[in-house]
Amino acid sequence: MKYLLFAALLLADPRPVHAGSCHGGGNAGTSSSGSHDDGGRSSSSSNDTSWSYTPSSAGDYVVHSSECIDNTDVHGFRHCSKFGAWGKNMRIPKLFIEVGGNVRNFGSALVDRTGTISHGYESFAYRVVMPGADAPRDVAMTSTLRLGFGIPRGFYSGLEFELGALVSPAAATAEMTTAGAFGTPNVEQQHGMFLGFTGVGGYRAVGSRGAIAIEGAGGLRSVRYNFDSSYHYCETTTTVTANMGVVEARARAELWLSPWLTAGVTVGSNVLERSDWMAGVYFGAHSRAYAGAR
Amino acid sequence: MRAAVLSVALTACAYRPGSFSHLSESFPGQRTTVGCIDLSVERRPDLIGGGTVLAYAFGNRCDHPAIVDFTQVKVHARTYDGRDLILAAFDPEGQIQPLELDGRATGEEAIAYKIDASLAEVCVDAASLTHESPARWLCFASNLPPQIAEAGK
Repeated sequence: MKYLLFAALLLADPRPVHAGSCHGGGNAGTSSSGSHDDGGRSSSSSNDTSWSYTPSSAGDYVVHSSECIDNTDVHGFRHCSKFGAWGKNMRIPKLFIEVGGNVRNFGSALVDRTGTISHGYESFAYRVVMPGADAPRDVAMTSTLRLGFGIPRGFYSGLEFELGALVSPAAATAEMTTAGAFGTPNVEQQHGMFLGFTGVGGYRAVGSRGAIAIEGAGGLRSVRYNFDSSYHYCETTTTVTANMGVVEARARAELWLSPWLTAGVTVGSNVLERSDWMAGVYFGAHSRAYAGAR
Repeated sequence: MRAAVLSVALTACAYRPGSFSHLSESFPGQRTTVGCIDLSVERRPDLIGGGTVLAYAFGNRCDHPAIVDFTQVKVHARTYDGRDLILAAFDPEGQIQPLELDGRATGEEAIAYKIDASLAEVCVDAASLTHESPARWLCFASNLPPQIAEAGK
């Protein structure tokens, strides 16, 4: 914003632009200019900072860009960057971000579900029937995004968002319990959607090549089961949504690809439904080397 | 977006202990190791207004953060007429402060030491940068003959 404002001032000022107008200098004894140049890096002048200003036209739009350019990297004379940029990541907390994919196997939430389908002015009630399965199960494949921060002594916590598809829902049909003028709709099961949002907390033990962690996750899961319905010349989709709480225990193992990057695998089980399990892979990036745990 | 990808790629590359090289940093000048820090110091051409510039490049050999403290660096100099001086970093805005360098990370700073004299020799205690002891002095002679240096004053 500061740069844009300065660029606007330059645009309004017909006088030539002088280098060194970035912050006005103000450094005692820096009015002298010139120096022995060592690859253009060593200079004693306060006039070592310049601004490039490039208005360009693209159709009916005028694009203004400005960029602060220092002619020296010497502290006290440069203006575009402050001292200690190399230590910037140490000023923020221990953060990490992970992306990955999971496979989840869990009990279907369709058992004994009922719903309604509307076709025009007619509405039909149905109940879900799951033939030939005592404990029908769904399989979902999801993508995960996790943001977290480290706590001293190897502990960490974070939030995890998960979105995916039901790639293999338990077989189900909708048995109509009401009929209309043209009979009952023809209903076919389709794939569904999986959505999860959990808070996680765990303990990470960092070794020389990688790290292992145990963690707990708790939150909400929403599974949407889709059914296509055709009735006379009308087609529509009805959705059965099941929301449930989830508490998982997980184990994780990861390798350090670099001090700041990891690749890992995770397995877990739902504490509330012992037969539910998940497995996944992920890549992670950390704000501190080795998660700040060495 | 490209800058973000490049930043991730560059930060993903760790400094290799003892290599004195890294993708984004060169390590010119005299090299030494003090504690966790691999350090190189180069004396650049002197300031015309008086004083000198020392360029520091450093990499953390350790997996954990290490202190890099330019406020504690001892820099001594000797003029052509034999006077011994203690130099202070030119820091008009008071930005210099002790900072931590992340494990296996690198950094560089060029610090000016302004003084109204031509300096025949400048010595820096590399160990003081990382609060180590004993002192480890790196000395740099002027790259100009005394006559020319004095004439420039």
